[in-house]
Amino acid sequence: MTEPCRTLAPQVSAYVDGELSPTDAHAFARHVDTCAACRGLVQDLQRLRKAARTLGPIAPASDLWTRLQHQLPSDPPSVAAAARPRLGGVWWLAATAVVALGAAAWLIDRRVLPSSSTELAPSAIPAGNAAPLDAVETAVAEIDRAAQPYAAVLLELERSAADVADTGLARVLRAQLDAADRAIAAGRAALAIDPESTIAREALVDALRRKHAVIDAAGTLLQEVQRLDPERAARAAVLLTKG
Amino acid sequence: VSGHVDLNLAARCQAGVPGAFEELYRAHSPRLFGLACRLVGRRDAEDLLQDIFLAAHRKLRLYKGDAALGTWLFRLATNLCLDHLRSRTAHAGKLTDPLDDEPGAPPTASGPVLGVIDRVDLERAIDTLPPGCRTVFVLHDVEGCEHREIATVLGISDGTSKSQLHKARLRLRRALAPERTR
Repeated sequence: MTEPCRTLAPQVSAYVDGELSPTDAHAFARHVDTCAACRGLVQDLQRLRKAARTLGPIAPASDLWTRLQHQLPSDPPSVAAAARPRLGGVWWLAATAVVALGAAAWLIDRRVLPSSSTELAPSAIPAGNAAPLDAVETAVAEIDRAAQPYAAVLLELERSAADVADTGLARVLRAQLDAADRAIAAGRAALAIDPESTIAREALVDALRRKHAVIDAAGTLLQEVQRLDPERAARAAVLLTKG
Repeated sequence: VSGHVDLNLAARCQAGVPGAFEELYRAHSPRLFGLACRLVGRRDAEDLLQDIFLAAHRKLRLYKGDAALGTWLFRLATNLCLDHLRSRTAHAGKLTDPLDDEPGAPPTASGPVLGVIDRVDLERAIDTLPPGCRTVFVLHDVEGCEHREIATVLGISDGTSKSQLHKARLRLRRALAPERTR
């Protein structure tokens, strides 16, 4: 046991973990080169560290889930009837959005993507670029208008922070709508650069359809939850989360 | 993508979608059970694992998706394990404990003393560590947490976390070394 060992030994773990400054690490390495005891300690701690990383998960007893299941509340928190009344005022908004969605979907199918999703029919593209772009912008505006009531519903759900299920679902809805909005913005930007790009147009249409699907699934979910029908609400939630 | 999947799973659990919470349990229980076994011992780990998932069921509404669901559950589990340990130990609030050997004591052997480390032996040796340095060792060396995270969760400084880790490693080295070299 030497004086350098006494000084440097407390740094062994930091050295093994790569946490010493370059200067300290260099000094330590020089000492280790000449000190068998410290070199042995470094090797052992490296071996120990490596072995610890191999200690993986441990499977609990197979019947533990069954025991746990019995302790879980029987009613899913999302359909707790008591939490609903204060949200009652916003459901009509969801219903009105469904009507608007129909118009938006029609616009997408008939005006933005006339014949198929892979190729625009020549007859659907008037001379110049203005008309198809107008059609795209109209569809985007219709989708935005259709989404507005849902934005109000989402806001209401987010305000009701005490309602366990609704805040969670609102977050999912918000994330999916935001993702669709980003895709729509990207599609519009691409079309602005090259108005005749079929790929950009298809990407935009796809994004619009995605947003439509999210809003549609949200509407179904909200209506089913409103009816306090747990099974149908659960099925609607699955549809929504697949959106 | 994983964040989206986590949010979806959390939402499905909250919506009471059949099988969703079991999916959460199946995906995360092995890691959390391993953590609980190593922190509080196998005897209490099963009860604690149930407490962890009951707490998760209650608190899922607080999950905001800003971390992976596994990370969120891991933090929840760590806190419950530490609460359990604190209730068991006489130490008030802090899980650091003095060891009988000086931290960073110079090596006494003239070379390496460890051969191939058997997992079962290592698990057994970890179980013999005092709670404070065992917690730091498990969180750092087994679970891969940073000293800063460990310091936060234990309410100690980074330096204390580092010294506890070093103590734990020295103790484990001694425990795992063949008797003739101790």
